[in-house]
Amino acid sequence: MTSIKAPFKQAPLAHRSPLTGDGVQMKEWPHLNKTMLRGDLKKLGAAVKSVEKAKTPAANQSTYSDQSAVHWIGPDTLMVIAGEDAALADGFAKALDGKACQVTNITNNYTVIELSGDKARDVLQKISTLDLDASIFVKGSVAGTTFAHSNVVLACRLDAPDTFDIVIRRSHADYLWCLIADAGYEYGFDKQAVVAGETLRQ
Amino acid sequence: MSTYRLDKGGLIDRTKPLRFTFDGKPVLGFEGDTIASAMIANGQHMVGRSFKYHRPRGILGIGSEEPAALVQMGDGNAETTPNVRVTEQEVFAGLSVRSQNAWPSLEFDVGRMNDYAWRFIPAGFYYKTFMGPPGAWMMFEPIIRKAAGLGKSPTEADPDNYEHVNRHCDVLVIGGGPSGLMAAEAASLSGARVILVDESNQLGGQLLGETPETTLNDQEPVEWVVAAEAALRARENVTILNRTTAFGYYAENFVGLWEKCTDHLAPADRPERAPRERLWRVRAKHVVLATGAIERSIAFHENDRPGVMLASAAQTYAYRYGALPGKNILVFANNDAAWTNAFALKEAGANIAGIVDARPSIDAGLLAKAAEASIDLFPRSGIVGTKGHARVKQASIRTLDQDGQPTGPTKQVECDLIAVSGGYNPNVSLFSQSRGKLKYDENIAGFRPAHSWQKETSAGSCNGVFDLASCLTEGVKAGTHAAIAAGFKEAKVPALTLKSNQKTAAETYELWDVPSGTGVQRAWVDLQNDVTAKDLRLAVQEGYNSVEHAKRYTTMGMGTDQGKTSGVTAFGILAQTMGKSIPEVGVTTYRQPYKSISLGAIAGQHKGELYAPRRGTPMHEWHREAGAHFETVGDWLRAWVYPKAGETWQRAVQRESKAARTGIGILDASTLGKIDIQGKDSREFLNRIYTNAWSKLGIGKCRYGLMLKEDGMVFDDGVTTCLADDHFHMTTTSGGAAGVLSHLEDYLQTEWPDLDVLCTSVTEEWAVSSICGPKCHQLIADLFGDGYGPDDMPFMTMKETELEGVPVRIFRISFTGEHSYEINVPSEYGRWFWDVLMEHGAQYDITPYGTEAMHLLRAEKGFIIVGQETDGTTTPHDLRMDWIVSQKKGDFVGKRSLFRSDTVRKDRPQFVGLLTEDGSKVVDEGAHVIATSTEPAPPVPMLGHVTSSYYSPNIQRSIALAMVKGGGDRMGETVYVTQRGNGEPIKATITDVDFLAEGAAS
Repeated sequence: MTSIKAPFKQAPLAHRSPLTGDGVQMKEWPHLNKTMLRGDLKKLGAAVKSVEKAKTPAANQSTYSDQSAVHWIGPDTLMVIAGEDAALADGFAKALDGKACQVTNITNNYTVIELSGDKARDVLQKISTLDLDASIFVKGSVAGTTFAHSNVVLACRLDAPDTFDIVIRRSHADYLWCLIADAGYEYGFDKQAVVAGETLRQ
Repeated sequence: MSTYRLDKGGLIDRTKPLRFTFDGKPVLGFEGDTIASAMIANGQHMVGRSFKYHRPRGILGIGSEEPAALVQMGDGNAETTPNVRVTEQEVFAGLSVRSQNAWPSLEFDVGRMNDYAWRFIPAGFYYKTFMGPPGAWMMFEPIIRKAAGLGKSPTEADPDNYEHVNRHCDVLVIGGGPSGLMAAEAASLSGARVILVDESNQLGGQLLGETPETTLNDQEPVEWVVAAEAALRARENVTILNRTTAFGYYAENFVGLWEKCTDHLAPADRPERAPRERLWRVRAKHVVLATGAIERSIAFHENDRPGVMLASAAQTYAYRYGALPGKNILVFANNDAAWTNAFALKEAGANIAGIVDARPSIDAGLLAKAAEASIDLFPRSGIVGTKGHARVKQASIRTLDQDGQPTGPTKQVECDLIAVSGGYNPNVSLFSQSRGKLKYDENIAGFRPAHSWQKETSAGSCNGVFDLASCLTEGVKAGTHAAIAAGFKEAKVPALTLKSNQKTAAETYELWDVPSGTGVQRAWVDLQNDVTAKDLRLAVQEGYNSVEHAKRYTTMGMGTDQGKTSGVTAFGILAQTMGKSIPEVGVTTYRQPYKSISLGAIAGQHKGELYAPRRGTPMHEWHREAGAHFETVGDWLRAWVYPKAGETWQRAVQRESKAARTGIGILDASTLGKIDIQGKDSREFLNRIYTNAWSKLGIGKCRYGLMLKEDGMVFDDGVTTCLADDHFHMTTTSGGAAGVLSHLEDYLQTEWPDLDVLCTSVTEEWAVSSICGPKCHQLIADLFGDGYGPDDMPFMTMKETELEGVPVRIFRISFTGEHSYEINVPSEYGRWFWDVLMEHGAQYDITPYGTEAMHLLRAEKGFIIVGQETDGTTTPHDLRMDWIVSQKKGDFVGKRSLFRSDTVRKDRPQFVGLLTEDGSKVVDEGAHVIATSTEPAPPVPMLGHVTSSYYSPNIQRSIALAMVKGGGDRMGETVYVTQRGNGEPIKATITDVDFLAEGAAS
């Protein structure tokens, strides 16, 4: 066997630095461990409780434990997000074995962008058609929606009503980062040049 | 002070003078002025020339209803904006505007020759040239295009920022006049989230032009407005948007708002980070329409001269802007409101040259008041002609007989302004856009809202209620109703004391145009598009009996103003001409937008680089660094070819393709769609989704499948692998991934909810490096050790392992026919693993190849690409892939359609290979396949078409794939492939599709 260079991970937004504006900040949470659970919600709820010590979220809500967030995605789907070192898929696979549920590791499929600050809702409202008024999209809310051309999961943190997690497909992350930066330009974000300039087929 | 500027009054700041230029000449205005008010204060009414006849055009109105006073704003080739209404654009220091449609200058315009030829350019002139003898339009078009027209479009890219904003609210109030203010007050006091929008820079609407005689709670109108606005702004649940037009009312109370953020400021004063315009997309639980009413003119002979102005506008210029529109004003009316305007203008300092009123009887109180003010009266009379060039200077007045015809002697009256009022049209545009039904009201001689379809309420003048007291109370009622409808409790709104002597147009005498009494009448209805009363009558004579047809024929109401001031007048004239009532004739449809909005606002921030996502794989940066050229596949950017320095892409494709069959080629296949499928019924599910059988696929085994839609046509293909008895990993085409997942979910949720199967997309969970070539198993052995060689790991199997602790799935799958591995690692390790392969593959001269070489390699093997060989009308049998359609298993999606008479036809196009007689000739993709060596005269009988065509470096000759009628039974037949241009068809032989096997056999 030959010697192989040490593995390294590359987050989708590794080439971006956190942005700070006047009342709004944005950064990537790279490498978070993510799992999609599908199946009967009661069974999923029981597994969420036993594995992550979190409650079953009601529709359009997220629950949080010390180590993870559980987002309601649909009547038979939950997305669980935890720290980089967690091994959610293994734990849930064990807990849901033989219970006609699907456990899928989606750690690499998505990344998480955090947008926070008292202007965060105004920034998001330039992209999202949802009602993100503080009286409507309250802390603990979650929604699967589209931001322009991208599918996202948008969650308002339970502990901070002006902090949002945006779960985005890996290859859409740079586009969305730049789109949010553009929306936040009014509040002091620097515009971000899209990764572009490739030579295209004639 | 300029000659027409009043010493005091109005909402302008006389301490802040501003100089701007009109056609290069400086004009003095003040902060708070519009271009119109500043020009009026300087005594200039003429702004431009009309669309067709190039007649001088002045200022008719006060706001967005203005039909003809349009200018070109800004001189830069990028920033310049055409068709700006002088009545809306606020002035700022350095503003430069130019008159439109006049050359070489506003005063001396060569196009005015059109006016002398007016008899020959009648209604329907354009239409007649379209429909006339062949070539007529071709001949006239360049001349018409040059002569007609509005402002000029910018020629360079727009440097400004625009953005979209989305909002939900409980109550959206459109219009900030008395009704809108009270509606917002009532709704916001209840706690509802309220958005109040107003087109102007200042809330208040008609109150801003009121005389100080009118008081609300003992405050002058403007004072009251300022206090009411302050109270609203202090509430957190209220958003007020100025300079914002509600341009479109769509389904489900979705309303588009257009906010102009910076155009009123000098460039240096514009906030650096503010967008130029915002497009607000508002979803409201309830909408209050408080859009006011628009005064209309009366069509009389030569009524289009500058200095003919709507009476309410004349008063508003004096009171809102401190600019006297004329010093010697003649008033022409058919209602009481204009009398109020006349008295107010006299109070402001103008002489009233007379009041001409067409009505047979006039209120005695008004007559007495006019007499007291020594105003000359012309009862039961009309204006039958005017004089003046850049501005009206004289009017001819005659008495009207009982049929409305001029009679008796003509009186000439000197004047410098004709303030005209033909009544008021409730501004029902948005109401009508919301699908609301209109009703003609004879009292006001106009249309008012009748039946609502959406959740909205009209209040005040737009509801046909003109007196201030009623406007205020209707506002309160509408606001309260809206809040209750949105789920809030009624709030007590403090009572208001109003004092006003204002007279309204609540009783309007129906009068659309005044005959000239001379046989020649040029009475303009649409000032922008030069449509006269005579044109409308001509349209009826020529058979255009529907208002929609007459509108299109005459171009009436089709300008940038959409006939705001002229529409109802035109309907009146049409009805009169047809001898019908107005309700019988009806109105044309009001459509979005209420006024033209910029394309920049519609695009918002979604332009340029932000127009669409550019999806890159985890190895994207490597490809860039390697100098790859990319092609787009959906939103993906895939490395297409990696030309070396000095190498053409064609040569690079040949080199890459050769390497993949002689050494090792490496392809980034990460974009393949991937779906994780779990559940005990997964096999049954795959049996139903794919055409072939899946019941017996062993764990760790892979199988290729074709997916059909219900119509039996190929929809997608890919390899699916059994990870466990109840767990499968499906791959799809790169472009088809999302569609396939929807297809699977659709069947699972609606057709087979009994199946225990669940799907989740994992397309981007895995980065896929595909290595191919006779030496690739050596590289695998170097990295992973034994157990993966050709003998240990059969084709179409998968093994899971680890490399340096990173999980790896190795698939023995081939899209080239060559020995090949598709290796999946978690995406975050994608770049690392690619680096490892490149580093350790160097000794085998590993060669990255792009999608073009991939396409060539699979064509050598005769593999299809869904979307290239197939086009949604292709069955598996058309592809001669009968082997993949299981006859034994049960039903599958599309099965039944494979037995339709049309799908079993023998002469359907079938998938074949083509080898040209001369192997150096490469046929065109898409070229027709015909039976004859020369192309016969059209229609050419077609045998089929070429779907893929390449020069193969491995077979050393050209190869092509084609769909040919009954192709399966034509092996060895000679056919011909047409060439572009008139090239001689290329002779070719029909073969099987696997050229590698064909080559080996020969």
